[in-house]
Amino acid sequence: MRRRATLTLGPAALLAMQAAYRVPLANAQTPSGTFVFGAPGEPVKLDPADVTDLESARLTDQIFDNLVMFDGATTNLRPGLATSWEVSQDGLSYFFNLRPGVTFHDGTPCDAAAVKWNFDRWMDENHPSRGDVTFEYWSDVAAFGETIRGVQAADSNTVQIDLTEPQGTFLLNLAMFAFGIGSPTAIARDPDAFARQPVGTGPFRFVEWAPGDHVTLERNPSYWGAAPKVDRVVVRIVPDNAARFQVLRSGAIDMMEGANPDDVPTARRDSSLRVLPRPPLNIGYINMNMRQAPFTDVRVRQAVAAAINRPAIVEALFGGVGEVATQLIPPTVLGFNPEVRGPQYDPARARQLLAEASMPNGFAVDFWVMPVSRPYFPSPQPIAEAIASDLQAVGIRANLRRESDWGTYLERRNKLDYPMWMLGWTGDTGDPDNFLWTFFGTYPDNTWDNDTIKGLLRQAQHSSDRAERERIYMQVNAVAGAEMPRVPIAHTTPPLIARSYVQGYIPNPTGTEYYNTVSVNR
Amino acid sequence: MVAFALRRVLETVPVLIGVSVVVFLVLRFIPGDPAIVLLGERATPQNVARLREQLGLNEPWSVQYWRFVQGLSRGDAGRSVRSNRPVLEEARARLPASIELTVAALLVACVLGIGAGIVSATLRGSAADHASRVLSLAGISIPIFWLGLVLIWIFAVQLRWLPPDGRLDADTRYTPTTGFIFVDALLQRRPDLAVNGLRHLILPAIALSTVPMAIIARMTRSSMLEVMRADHVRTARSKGLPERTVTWRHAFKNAALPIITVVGLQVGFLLSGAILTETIFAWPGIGRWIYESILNRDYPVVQGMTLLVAVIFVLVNLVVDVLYAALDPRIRV
Repeated sequence: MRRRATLTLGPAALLAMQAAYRVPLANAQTPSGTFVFGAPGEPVKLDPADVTDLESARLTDQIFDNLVMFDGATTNLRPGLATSWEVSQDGLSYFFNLRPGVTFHDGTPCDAAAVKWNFDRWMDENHPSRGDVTFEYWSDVAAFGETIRGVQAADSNTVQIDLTEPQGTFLLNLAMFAFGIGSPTAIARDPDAFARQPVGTGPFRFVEWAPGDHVTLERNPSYWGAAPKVDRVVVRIVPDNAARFQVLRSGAIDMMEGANPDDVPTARRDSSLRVLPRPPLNIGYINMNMRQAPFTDVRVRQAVAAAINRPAIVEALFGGVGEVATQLIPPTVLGFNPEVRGPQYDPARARQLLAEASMPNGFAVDFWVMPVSRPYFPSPQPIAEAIASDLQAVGIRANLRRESDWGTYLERRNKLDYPMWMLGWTGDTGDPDNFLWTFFGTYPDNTWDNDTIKGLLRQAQHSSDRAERERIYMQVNAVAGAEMPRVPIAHTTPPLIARSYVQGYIPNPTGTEYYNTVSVNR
Repeated sequence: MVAFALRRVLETVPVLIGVSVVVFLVLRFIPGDPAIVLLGERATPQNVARLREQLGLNEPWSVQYWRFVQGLSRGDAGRSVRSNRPVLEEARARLPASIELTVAALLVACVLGIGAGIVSATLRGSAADHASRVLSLAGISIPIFWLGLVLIWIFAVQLRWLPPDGRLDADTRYTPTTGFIFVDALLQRRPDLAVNGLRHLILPAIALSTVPMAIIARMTRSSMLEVMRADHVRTARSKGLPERTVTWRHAFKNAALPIITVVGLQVGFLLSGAILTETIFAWPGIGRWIYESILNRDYPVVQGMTLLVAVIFVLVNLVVDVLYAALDPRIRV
């Protein structure tokens, strides 16, 4: 129910309008039980395994459950469809004990056979119910295509997953939105339609999707976990950041994501609103092509890092939601090295480093600016301008170059068309491998050809010993801090803004947030 | 008259074929690979190659175009690269929103624009004339983005009289029959739906009407001024006809032809070009969808929708031509 201002005076037309306004209120049904979330974009598809974007995952998180799930505001794991699990001595077999009596929204049982069926569909490219899909998270992000050998239903309530080699990230990967378990009956009926009419076991079931407008979910009365506190969830698509903030202020939506940095302080001052920062799980950085002069020289890279006044930039241009990054993974992630202090702002030192690299007068370079804003760089253009002006001060003449569109930008940086560019990463699982392998593994935009680092990262991938993995990642972060293959700029805590009557929303660093804890008391 | 309309319909066939070829080629000439846009930061060469294969982008253009045309002949514009939904299914959901917004905006634009234009022309040089000219200048020059936000701030945030976003309140339960809210309100006997829909329509319609209103006002003014100097108007006046009859029957009817042309052109522009209005007011129409699809390099959507918009343009043009012929017998040859 929207709050209304009382109209005391005004022309007749406005009175008529006000009178008309009352009609739908009289007809409205159980409105206090609806949680309306304002999303910046339209979901793409709702088959979780085929999802790659946050807008779709926001919805599939409500509709589906995973075997194991992220716990509250952390990347720790809690039981999901599996109540407990055991690992074999050699680290190659996992046994998941399923929660008994769980049913999908279509009434069919979610037992070991159903879970195995889901894995088989993801695994087998010739599965009859696979549909027109890519399953990118399965094959690339989690690399399950290589690591999972097979899945068996050991009995009706136990699922056994066998691996080809130990994978340190296995359980965290399973908690990613992509591995929500869907109803085999619904998928087999029509796998492509399933992506528009998903059926899971989650706290909310799918009701409707009005393209470009909204998606509606309703409470699953037989949910196995904490019972939802609202009857309905409506995710409304409001594309413009500034407009979405105004829509929130009008009360037409209860909560939103993706505010302009300028609007965050306004929200903080408004007593009817509350800012909920999402714990950081991203990094914005400057990348340099280290296969080409001048960035082949470590002193030049260090000079770039020392020239940029990162604290000032984060203070001025991140709307109060940024923290200066000391390394390429955020502090909440395993292997964060507290001894790596990050580049210190020191223009004199930068000039000295340039002189040592036989470039006392600096150099000119094309610096490419992201054409879109992303959580890790909320306003790329002004940030790039500030960086360029800092670089100018030590003699590095950075010509700001802007690509017309995001696709071309991503394509050209992979072809290494840019000598220097800004980009970033948002973590999927909270595991360091998800950051550091992406940066220094086999991705085409990695120009740090360092086999020792690659070897260390591989070693950590195949270890299930947490202490060993932590040690390795701390070492990688220390080396990267010295060699400066990329200049870390900032982590951001992407702000969610809610009306103050919204209670129980728990922001999670991975963005995996469950709405069954949310209550709305207007 | 029928023969005239038929001839005009046949003439549109080569136009549409031309449009389909041009859109197809332009899309493939602009840089940016759909597979890369789809994959985002994760676009590794292997992923891109696999996705391109899956999307059929590795086929020669001629084959891709032939597939597109074959599909169209079956009434199938393909599936969105991004969402894997049939393009026409999604268009059916979005087109009614665009049509309702266009009609509402044009209604506002015509009433205010023609009114202002006539006042301006008949009271040339007066304060009313100046006011209407300033207004039409403002209509053209105020950025819709800014105007939209201001309207939302005043009417939705401060006064809370009107809702700021979407076609209906978020907690409204509504199952579309036709997708047109006002038609469905009648069919489903739900006056609440019509009221709800109307309240949501007001702000975006005002924002979207500003540019066409200004254009129509200027066209009406200049066209009226021209006709008012014509011999037959002087004759009408000298016969002693009342000024109102002179203005409406003798002047406006003759001045209407260029106004109709302008209004007709605006229909097409508003229908597919309301990107800013649709973005600010979260209106689920086709303009924003086409725009986002261009950014995403979603070829099937852009191809299918551009063709659809072209068909609408052509149809509206046809209606304008027929109206012309009805108003001006000289054209019917």
